[in-house]
Amino acid sequence: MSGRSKRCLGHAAILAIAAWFWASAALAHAVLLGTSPADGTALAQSPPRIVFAFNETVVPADVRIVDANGTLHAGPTGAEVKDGTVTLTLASPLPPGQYVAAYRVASADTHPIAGAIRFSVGETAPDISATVENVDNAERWTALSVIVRFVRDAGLCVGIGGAFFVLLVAPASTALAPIRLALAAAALASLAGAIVAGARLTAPTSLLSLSFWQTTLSLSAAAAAAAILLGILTSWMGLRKASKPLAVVGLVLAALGTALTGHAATGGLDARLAQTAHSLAAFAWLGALIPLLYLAQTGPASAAEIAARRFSALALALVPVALAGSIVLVVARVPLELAGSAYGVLALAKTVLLGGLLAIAAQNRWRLVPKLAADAAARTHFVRNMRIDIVLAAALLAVTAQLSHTPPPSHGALHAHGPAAGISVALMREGHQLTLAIDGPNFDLYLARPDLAAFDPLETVLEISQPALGIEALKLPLQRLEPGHYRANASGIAARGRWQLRIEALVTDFKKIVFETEIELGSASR
Amino acid sequence: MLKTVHAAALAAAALGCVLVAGHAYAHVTLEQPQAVAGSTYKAVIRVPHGCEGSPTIRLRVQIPDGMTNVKPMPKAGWELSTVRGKLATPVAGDHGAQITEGVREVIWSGGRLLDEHYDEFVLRGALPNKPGETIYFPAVSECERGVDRWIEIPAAGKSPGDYRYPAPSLRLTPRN
Repeated sequence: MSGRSKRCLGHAAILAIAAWFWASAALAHAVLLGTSPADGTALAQSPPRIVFAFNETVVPADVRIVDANGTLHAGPTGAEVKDGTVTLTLASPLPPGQYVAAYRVASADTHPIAGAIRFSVGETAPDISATVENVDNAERWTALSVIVRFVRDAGLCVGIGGAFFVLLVAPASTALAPIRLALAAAALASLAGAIVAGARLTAPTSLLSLSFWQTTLSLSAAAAAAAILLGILTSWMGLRKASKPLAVVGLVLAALGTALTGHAATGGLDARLAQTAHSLAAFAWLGALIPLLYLAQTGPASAAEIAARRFSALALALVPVALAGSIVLVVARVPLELAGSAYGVLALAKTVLLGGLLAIAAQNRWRLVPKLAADAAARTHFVRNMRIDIVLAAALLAVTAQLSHTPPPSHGALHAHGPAAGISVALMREGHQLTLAIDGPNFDLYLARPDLAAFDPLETVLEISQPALGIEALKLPLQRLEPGHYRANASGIAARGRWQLRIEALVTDFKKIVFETEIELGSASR
Repeated sequence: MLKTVHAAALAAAALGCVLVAGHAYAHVTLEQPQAVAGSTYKAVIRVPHGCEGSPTIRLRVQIPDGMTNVKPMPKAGWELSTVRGKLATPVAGDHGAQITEGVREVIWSGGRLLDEHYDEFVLRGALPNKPGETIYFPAVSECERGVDRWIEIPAAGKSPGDYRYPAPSLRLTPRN
């Protein structure tokens, strides 16, 4: 080896050693020690600058201030750095409002670190009122959604019950037109339900808005509407061609559609099957009351008695199925925390109405039906009972519609809000469940253990990122509302766009579960 | 020719630099990241700093499942304690006896490791005889203000480097 090449290798060795030392010296990640203004500060006036203090020198890659609409107010370039202090000076004062200051810097080991803080400028009152207004708006949508749900269920009830009556109870004596009308109403209402759910999320300025339709079509309500529509068309054809199997398949499909949205949709397969069975049995039972009343009022006495006997016998099979379905859906999963909550009150109301229906049904079955053909007084009594029954059934459906838009207490993992109550996402990691419900500025987390009991981690952290806005790893403080239920307030954060969420739940000191998901938020609700 | 050698040497040096820099020494790690499965292993747990500006005053290390005969090394300035408990899976010991209980956690407390300082904590024990597997020593660094939990275990297809707080890991190699 020549002297020159030796020297060359020597250089390389020195370089390698130097590199080793340089690298070893600089291998700690930078850590954010503090900011000015501090996270969550309400400032009377615009700050002249934003300062991020790190424990070591960093290279700022992207430092910016965005407002609640995602509009850029400062940065992403122009930040100055001195001894680990990164300063972004504002060219002009920030107008009153809520802001996110986000940073992405490279520490000396070139490892990128990113984070964000929130602060507000000026009177926060306008923002709060804006939030309240949005909440009102959300409540209006909820009211509309409840009404649409009631129309859908009433239509399905009359349609399925009527078809059931035609197919199994009194084939010859029932007009098909009202059944078809009811099914058509149900079909329209399920479509409307999907549109309302989509509109509630995106608050579209026009029905032609592309994002509105994209959101709407991605919701479970749209899948439910499609299944119900297909089911109704199938059963319609079945009724028309007097094909019992076709009609039954259609009705089952429509009932299946009811399990694709709402609380059951966030449960497992068992919850969906239970919901399908529950819908089918309850609708068949309650919906058949109308043609039965019609027959009792107008038909020959003997035909009324035969139909009432058959119906009564079939109801004995339907009622237990409907009850079993609701037990799987509610009773088995929300055992103790019902008392006092709005959900509990509605569930109680539903139970009382059901009790009334069952009491009347029992009186009809054992007292009145046997005497229907012979005794005119019994028939009058029966007709009166049936009218009360129908009123109770309508009330039952109304309570159910409201119930479907009320979050169940705790145990949110299985009973998350359906899309009608905002966005909801159910995630499962290592048997633990997290349901994330986003409604207005509130991010609600419902955590459940593998045994479905409410889960309170030793520590829970929620971080949100939207790289497109330059916001990364913004920690939202969580407030514990009840066992397993945590809420973060995301006001002041741009509502639009695709947010990445990361939730860390510490199970033991040495074990944590990380849930990660992405959600697309529309322009409304913040 | 010489130019080529020079260039290659420089490239190698640069590569070495990148490789070294790629190692996340800011994390709590083991000095020896691999060892022969079933052997007795001295775990040197390297703690490169406190938590975000605050000194570490307590270090807790969880013993991986299957590691037995664990003995921590006392450390000047720190009080040493262990938590014993049932092993998740009993291990065959000497003379056919089953080991069902052992050290599950080692705790050094009462010291003070400043954020700008570095320290090492040592324990030894018998590694499980599972060549090819990677075992983890989740460590919790409790500080005067805050806690750093080096407990993240990589999901399939990920490496500790993909995490902010990876647990110190040890790859078990086959016996030669």
